Amino acid sequence: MDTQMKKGLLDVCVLAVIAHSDSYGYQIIRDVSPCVKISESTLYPILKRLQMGGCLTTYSVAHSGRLRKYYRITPLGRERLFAFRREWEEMVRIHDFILQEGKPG
Amino acid sequence: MNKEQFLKKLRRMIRALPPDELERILAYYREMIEDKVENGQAEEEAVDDLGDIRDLARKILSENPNRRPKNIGKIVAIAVLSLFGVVLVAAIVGVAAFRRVPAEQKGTTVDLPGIHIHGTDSNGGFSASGQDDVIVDLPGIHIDVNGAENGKDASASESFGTKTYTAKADGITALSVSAECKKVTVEPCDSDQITVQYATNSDQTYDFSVAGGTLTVKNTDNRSWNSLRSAWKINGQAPFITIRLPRKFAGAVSAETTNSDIRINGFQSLKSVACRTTNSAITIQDLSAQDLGFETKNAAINLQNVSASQKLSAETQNAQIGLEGVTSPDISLNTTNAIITGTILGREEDYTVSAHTTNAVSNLQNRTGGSKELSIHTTNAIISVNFES
Repeated sequence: MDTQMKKGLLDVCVLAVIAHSDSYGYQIIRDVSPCVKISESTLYPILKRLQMGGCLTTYSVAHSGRLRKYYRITPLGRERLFAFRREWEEMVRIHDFILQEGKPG
Repeated sequence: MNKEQFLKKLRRMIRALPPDELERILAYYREMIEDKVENGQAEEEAVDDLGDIRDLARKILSENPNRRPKNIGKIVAIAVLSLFGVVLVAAIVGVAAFRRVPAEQKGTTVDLPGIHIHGTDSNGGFSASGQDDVIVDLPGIHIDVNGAENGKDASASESFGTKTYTAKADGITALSVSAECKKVTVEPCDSDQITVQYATNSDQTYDFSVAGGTLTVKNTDNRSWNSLRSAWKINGQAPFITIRLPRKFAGAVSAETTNSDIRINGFQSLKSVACRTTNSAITIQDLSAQDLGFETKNAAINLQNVSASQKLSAETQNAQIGLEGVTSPDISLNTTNAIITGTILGREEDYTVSAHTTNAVSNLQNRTGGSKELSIHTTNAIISVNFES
């Protein structure tokens, strides 16, 4: 798959997991794994990019004597997921059209 | 390698990164290893899973083009000279020398064309942080400092900072905010007072009055036409008015502004909410009232977990309307050239549906005979609205 497209898709995958519920690094990797296996070093820039883009905020929770960083989706992040769904619907339409080999109706 | 050895070695290998980012990355990997160990993996194995440490360091460094600047003065000088020449260096130095910033204030922002320098040194000196070195800004000199002196430029305004107005909520049945170019936020609080926090300076007029149970906040923006810039700031922030109302406020809220966002969240008992702005988004979350009306243009309206027991209306142009969990027996959504999408809580069979768009697909079937009304109009874009119970 085209690398730019894959990058965008991974960002949205991670965002979708966090939209489901606030989560932290290790948990996010596990929750995304049914769909795609990403490494810890791949996840970090994705989270950073989503945060810089206003799609996520973070907060820390004390856990067994250490701090765990949680990520939470923002309204802008949800908007991003909406946008993905719309683009995908557009793509499905185009895909169906192509499969019909351009036959109208 | 164990965890501490790994982190120590990684720290050394990525030490060229800005300190904030460095610490964030190390905390991230520390947490990752600790979570794996907590889930039953042996520490050495958890570290091994991260792969070859040199590859990791190389990957981290390649994602971070911002290395820690070695010579701040050199960067500033090069930026200035390459953009506007020696004259501006003198202007920056002159302003810096004369602006003595009191120790308790956070910093001084001097906005000059082409240069953005943000001082964070508490002694009043200047330093360029790794993040905001050079940002190309709009032409025109606007000096905005935390002090009472006027800048040399006639268009500079005195900065008074943030002020607060308080009123007892008892007896207030309506809030009316009318502002110009101010971001308006209305949020709940757990006190019996209404607090209005607002950014002001000598170009702004604020009038507060309480009459007949209505608290009116009226702001006028008196900047001269040549200082009306789209990205102006007071004390480094987009100018704002934030109103904190008691959570259980049951009155009418009306918020009107221009060229700035409106945000309202967290009220369940309001009578009505009416918002209007231009060229900026309206974002509403966790809101429940009898009547809700939102109007803007050229920007999105986003409604999340919003309920109107009588009527809900959202209108904009050239921008999308997004619904996430919206409830009302009478819904009217209008825009142009943009999508309307999301979920309505309820059953499609209960609604008389009138959904229209042009040159695009709508997933809704128009129908009559419902006890509730749904009217959705846009052009040249899809309508994708689903019902959820």
